[in-house]
Amino acid sequence: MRSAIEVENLSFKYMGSEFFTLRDVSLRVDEGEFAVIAGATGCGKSTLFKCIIGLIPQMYQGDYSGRVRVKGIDPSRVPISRVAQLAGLVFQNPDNQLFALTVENDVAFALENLGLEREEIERRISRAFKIMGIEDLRNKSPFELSGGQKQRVAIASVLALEPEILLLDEPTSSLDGATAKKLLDELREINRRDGITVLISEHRLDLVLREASRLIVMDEGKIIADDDPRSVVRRLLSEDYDAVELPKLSKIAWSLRLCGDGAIPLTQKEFVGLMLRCSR
Amino acid sequence: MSFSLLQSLRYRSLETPIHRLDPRVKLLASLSFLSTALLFGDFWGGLLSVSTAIILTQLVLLGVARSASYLLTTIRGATPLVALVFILSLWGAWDLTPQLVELIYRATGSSIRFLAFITSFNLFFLTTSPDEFGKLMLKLRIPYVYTFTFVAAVRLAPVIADEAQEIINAQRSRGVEFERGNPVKRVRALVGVFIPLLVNSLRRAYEMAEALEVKCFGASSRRTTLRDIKATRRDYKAALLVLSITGAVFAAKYLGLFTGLP
Repeated sequence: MRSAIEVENLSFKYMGSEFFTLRDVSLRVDEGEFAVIAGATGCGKSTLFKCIIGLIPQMYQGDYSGRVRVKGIDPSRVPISRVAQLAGLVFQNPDNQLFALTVENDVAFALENLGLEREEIERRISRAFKIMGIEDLRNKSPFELSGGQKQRVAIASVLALEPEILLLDEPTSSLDGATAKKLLDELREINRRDGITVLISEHRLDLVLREASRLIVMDEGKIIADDDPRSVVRRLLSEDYDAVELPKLSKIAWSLRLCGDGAIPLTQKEFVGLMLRCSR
Repeated sequence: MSFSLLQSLRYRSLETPIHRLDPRVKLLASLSFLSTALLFGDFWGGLLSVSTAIILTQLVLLGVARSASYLLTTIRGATPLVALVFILSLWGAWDLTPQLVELIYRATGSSIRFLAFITSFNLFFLTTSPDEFGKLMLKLRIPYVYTFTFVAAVRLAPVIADEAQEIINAQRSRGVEFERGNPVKRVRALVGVFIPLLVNSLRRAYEMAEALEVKCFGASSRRTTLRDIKATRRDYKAALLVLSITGAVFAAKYLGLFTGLP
């Protein structure tokens, strides 16, 4: 499998800060993966994303060491617009990333900035609208949209760049549970159907781990766990680690010692299956 | 007063022939109102001054655009300023003009001219969406960075207004009173709103700058646009009409058809 993102011994300290936000982080995300990064607020998830896209060190000054490659390109040395066409970054707050006065213009914004021909812009935005299922919002103003709709538009505007990698920094933080679940399902679908590599930082592990192929946990700027979600959850439960909100059903199964050496349930279905097996 | 003036310039999305006009034609019309009012707005033809004609024309056009009431709001909001102009005109010409009636005519003329001047862009702003305005700025070859600044300001104004309201509510729930006390106390209470709003706005500006970078802002010197403004035959006819009327007014002035005070 070819790597989509490679990070080697990356450390970063913001100018004026006393502490390193990232400490010797090494990570490799392969093409087609759906990887989740979890960690307490301030653990360095957003900073890592900014390093991957090149905002650090190009926009933020500080002590930067290590090596980052996105599809073989060093994001610290090429224009951010070039990296953005390979790896699209969706920020936490959709209000600060929707600029235009209609949804259509917003999705076309990055493509217009690249100077693409009108026909190509039309083709790409139609595709992005279709992928996110927001064709009906095309002529609406961002003011009229709900939080979930705004986040969908923000993702569509990044997808219009046709990136091979999608980076999402806590995209569901302002959404209710049902909307968050729907959005995460859609992201998984994009990953499967379109083969886009997804790296998502997320607090709601109950919702996202069902679909994730990998779970990376960060703590105080370091990666402390990186494996398939079930193994990571088991390890964190065994260590009584509480800086990350692990899936509640996994915690219940663990506290009741239902799992033994078997698999930790990550979903309701798996939990019920485990309960039924235990009752027999 | 100033608030009602600004409110009366806010675009309302409506489907009318005036709203559908090319923004360039509306800009041309507003520029025509402005220049006419500036150059010879206080000339009288019979009982009607040129400025009165400008205001009435706008009233009719905005009536077609179902927005005439907003022009009246502007006029109402501007009344204290117009009254000030009237008083200043009377005071300034007191020693120069012996006739009281002529003095009043002159002061009235100046006031109406001032009103025509400040309402000259009502037609444009009330019937042109910020989006169209942005495209118009591009057509006028204004660098995109300025156009974007304008569009982003329009886009973010309601977001910041909501944020200010949230801060005011939060301060109220902590017992801060904004409507009571002497002016110094009121201003001091507003400082408590202004500082968090400023801090939030700076943070927002940083986040927007990041988002702009990843949306390839400035990546190409030849930025393209998905939707452009295109003039139709109707727009050309309207532009011709505006130019003809403006030309006729200018011709009338230079041919001496304005007879001066009635």
